[in-house]
Amino acid sequence: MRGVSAWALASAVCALAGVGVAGYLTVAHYDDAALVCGLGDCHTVQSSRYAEIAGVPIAVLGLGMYLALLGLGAARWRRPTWAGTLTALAFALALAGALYAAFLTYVEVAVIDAICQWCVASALLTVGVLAAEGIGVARTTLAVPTDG
Amino acid sequence: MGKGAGRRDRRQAARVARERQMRARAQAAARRRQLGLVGGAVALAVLVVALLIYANRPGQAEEIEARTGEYPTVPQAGRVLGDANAPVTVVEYGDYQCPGCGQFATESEDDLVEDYVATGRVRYEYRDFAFLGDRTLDRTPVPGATPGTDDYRDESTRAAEAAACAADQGRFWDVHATLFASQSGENEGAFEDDRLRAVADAVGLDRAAFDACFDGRVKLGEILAMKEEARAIPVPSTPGFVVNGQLIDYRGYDSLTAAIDAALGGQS
Repeated sequence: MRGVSAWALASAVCALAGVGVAGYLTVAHYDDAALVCGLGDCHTVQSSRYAEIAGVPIAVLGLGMYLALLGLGAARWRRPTWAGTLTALAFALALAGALYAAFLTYVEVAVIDAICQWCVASALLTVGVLAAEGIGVARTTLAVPTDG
Repeated sequence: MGKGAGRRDRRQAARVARERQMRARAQAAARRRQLGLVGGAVALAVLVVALLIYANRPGQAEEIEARTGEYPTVPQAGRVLGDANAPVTVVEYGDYQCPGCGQFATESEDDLVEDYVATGRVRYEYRDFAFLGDRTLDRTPVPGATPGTDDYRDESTRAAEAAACAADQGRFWDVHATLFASQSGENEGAFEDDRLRAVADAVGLDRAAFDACFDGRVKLGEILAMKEEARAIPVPSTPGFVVNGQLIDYRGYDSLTAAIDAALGGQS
């Protein structure tokens, strides 16, 4: 059985949790009654104009990102020779997600004036994937074998 | 013999050095390729996010979507719709800058009016809980007002004042619907004074009468009193709904109709 490094495992765990959170937010986007919000004001955030891009719910985009990250992780495990390229792609995808999550968090605090606990959870999970894939980039993509 | 061996050793050493140099070059090239891959992927990610943020940036004022002739067949008295003797009273507390209130107004209010208000079963009132206005921007202070206080000018309060002024002309619901249809961000200028005057024009209000009310801040006390009333209940978030005097746990339109149906005694 092929071994899985700790950073790859951490990335997969965060992405899997992200699928759960983004999946829930996707359901809640279409069924407001399903949205349970213990902290903050998720309804305001979910119904703001920032909750969609060109008619596509952010939650759906987030779900797609987490599934793609899981797919890249699985492909990396199946094809270790492509690990460098796949890790670079996963890092870039997580970076895009984290940057947009940062923008959305700014919008929540400074524009909408409401915080959604699920959105914050998703942002933190994206940062978790980014950190794990960052370690992965250092250890695979940028690691060139030295003379032995 | 010794001379020949020395030459061979030198050639061997030169070959090893060349191979090492070639390997080092190959490694450097591989590193450059990998760095290029990571750099390219990162640059692409940043570019895509920058485009998304630009497309979705705050502060894009949208067109005013004038709504006129709202609920012509339903009795209207200012901010109240429906039969004064209806068995159930629904009071909504909202803020014209609140996206959830906008969603309710544009997606569910028609259903509420058609199914419950027009049928005489519900008396529906919209009251202002204008709390989202940013009073820290120091945009257009009211003469004599203290920044950070409730009589300071903010977009939520001003929008509520505009609707209240429209009520004097029997057009509360037209301005109410127009404001919600024209939402664009919060505290980004969508409901600055000039745009609210444009709303009055778009709906077709008597501008002289509107200006006298709006510029004179005739309705400010009424709006601030409603805000205090909402805080006292306390309404936890907007939109908040009170059905026959009971604040409900609003979780979408279905939760409101469930509360109304319960108040009506199970009839739907």
